[in-house]
Amino acid sequence: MSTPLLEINDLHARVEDKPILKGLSLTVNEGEVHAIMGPNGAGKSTLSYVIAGREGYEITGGSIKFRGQEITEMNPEERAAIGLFLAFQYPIEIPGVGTATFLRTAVNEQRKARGEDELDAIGFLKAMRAAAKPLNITDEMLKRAVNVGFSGGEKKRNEVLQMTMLAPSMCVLDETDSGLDIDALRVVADGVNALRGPDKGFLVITHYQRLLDYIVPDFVHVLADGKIVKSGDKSLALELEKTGYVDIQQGLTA
Amino acid sequence: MADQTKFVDEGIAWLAANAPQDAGIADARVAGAKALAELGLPSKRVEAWKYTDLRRFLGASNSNAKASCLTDAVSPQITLSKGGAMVGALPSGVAHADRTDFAITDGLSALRSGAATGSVALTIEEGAAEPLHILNEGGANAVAITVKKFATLTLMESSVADGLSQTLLSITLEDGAKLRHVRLKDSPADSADLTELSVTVGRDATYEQVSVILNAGQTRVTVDANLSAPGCHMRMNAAALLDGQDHFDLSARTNHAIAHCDSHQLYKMVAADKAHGVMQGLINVAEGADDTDAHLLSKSLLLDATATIHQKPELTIFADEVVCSHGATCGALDADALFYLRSRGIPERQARALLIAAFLDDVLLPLADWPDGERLAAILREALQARFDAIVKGAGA
Ligand SMILES: Nc1ncnc2c1ncn2[C@@H]1O[C@H](COP(=O)(O)OP(=O)(O)O)[C@@H](O)[C@H]1O
Ligand SMILES: [Mg+2]
Repeated sequence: MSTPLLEINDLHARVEDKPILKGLSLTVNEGEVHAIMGPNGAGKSTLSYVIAGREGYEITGGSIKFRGQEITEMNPEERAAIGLFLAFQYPIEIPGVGTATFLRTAVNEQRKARGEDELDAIGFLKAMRAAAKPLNITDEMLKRAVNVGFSGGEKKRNEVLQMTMLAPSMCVLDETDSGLDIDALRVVADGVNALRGPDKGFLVITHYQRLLDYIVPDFVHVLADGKIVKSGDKSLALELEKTGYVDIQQGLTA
Repeated sequence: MADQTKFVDEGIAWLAANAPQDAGIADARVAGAKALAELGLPSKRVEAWKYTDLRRFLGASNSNAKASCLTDAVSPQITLSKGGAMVGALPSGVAHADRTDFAITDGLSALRSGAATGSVALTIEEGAAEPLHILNEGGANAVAITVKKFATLTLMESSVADGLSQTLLSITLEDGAKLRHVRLKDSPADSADLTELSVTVGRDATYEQVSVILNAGQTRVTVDANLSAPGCHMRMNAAALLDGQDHFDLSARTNHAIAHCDSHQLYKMVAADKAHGVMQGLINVAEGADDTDAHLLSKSLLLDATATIHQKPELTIFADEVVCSHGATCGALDADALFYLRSRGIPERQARALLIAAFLDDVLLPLADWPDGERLAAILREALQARFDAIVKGAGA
């Protein structure tokens, strides 16, 4: 068996002295799509930030390996360059930095870090337009500052555009579906599905089962109180939709 | 007391004996020295000088003036230096005369007059469209610029002086005149700069200024803007990148003397290491200056805990039906934005540079409407970027 793409083992992490992740383990192999569901405050976003290397999220135990390599000591840009991507639950607005400039800088910095040639301006523009079109992202949006004045749906589509352009091998999507109407959800899901492949892995965090009708997962996990408390196939998501998270939480405290 | 008086007289005698060729300059020095003995220099106990210690300015070293990146756009036609004002071939429509008025009103102007090196008066006639570039390499020089009725001018001013430079720039805009003024400050770290800028804006006239401060050394710029006739417009923007021991003080007083004028001021400072930025901005709306539209915003970024920023926007209003605003913000780089950029693979240093450039960039926006302004903006952007790269390299070492 080949080395897992992402292997998280007994991960403990805290924010401002507050333990949030309490022994979380999860393995994503190449070609697999894993969904993580769980109640608000369970630690889903915390998990995504810890994987991406955000400052202030302190790992107090366990390990995160990417293709067998320990990444917990790497900074965010190094993690991005080896193929990790996080689509933010709440994408950040950056006034004064144009979307196209931002994308081009990111693409070329990652290429540089991997020892590849930078894309020239024309090559980049072509690739960006080709990626933007199916996501209904207009040239006008690409000229605006990153996420500034974007609607909720536009921000989420912009996340998928970045993911497409950066072509990561392991994508973590943090509630990319929340706040989207059904048409926007389809556009986003199509964008994600287009990136699926035998050498790619996905960790799709969602609060609702709905997204999983469009991005069909191989495995579904329930995250509650900082741990994976239940795992199954996609039928688990349907079951959760019926019973809600209450049973799980009660099960934990009982 | 009598001894002190005698000492002043001896000093004045020495100045007279060592007087420069130009009789006007010699007179200005004697008058300055006499006035200084009476007036003295303002200490930090004076409210307007609370954040700036003049004694540090007097300790400036003579080294060599720097080069100006604006020279790439227009080569300077006038050079100010310790040897006085050198006037070369001027653009058509620009006339000049020697001028020796050092206008002593306080200790600071007395000091400048006492050190006088040269002066020049310029008159811009209608139709002068070519930019005028003044390169300031130091000394104590007085420049007066009058933009005649309906005339327009783009004025580029590069202050690259070493030592203690003291400049008086008096600008008068006649009715309907338009002056676009770009100021660059890029001097050696051990230099000091006392600049006084007075602007009088006439009926329906427009004054626009964009300043970029790359290397401040010790700098105090005092601006006195007078909106003196109906329908005048003023815009002043400044972006300052401060590092090391840099001290930059921009003290601007805007006087809305009459109704129906507008003024817009945007100041942005970024301070690293032990740098100190000061923005004191007073807007005065005089009695009867109704329908005034006056705004001042000062925003600062502190890159290190050792850097200091003081911002003091003030507004005094004695008129009715005015739309005025003033405000100041100060903070650190947005950590969320920094993480977002880095999570996309942009290295920390470059991510910081992008955010700082974005923070400063709207200061340059007015240039977009200037003839050839895009080129000026590109030069200034590149210079800011280079300066920032130098700052982070220094910090990373
Ligand atoms: N920056 C932070 N500072 C303090 N507490 C935080 C911070 N981020 C998250 N938390 C806390 O951590 C817990 C998990 O939050 P989060 O990971 O956002 O949950 P989820 O994404 O599952 O809704 C919550 O109790 C939340 O209040
Ligand atoms: Mg969350």
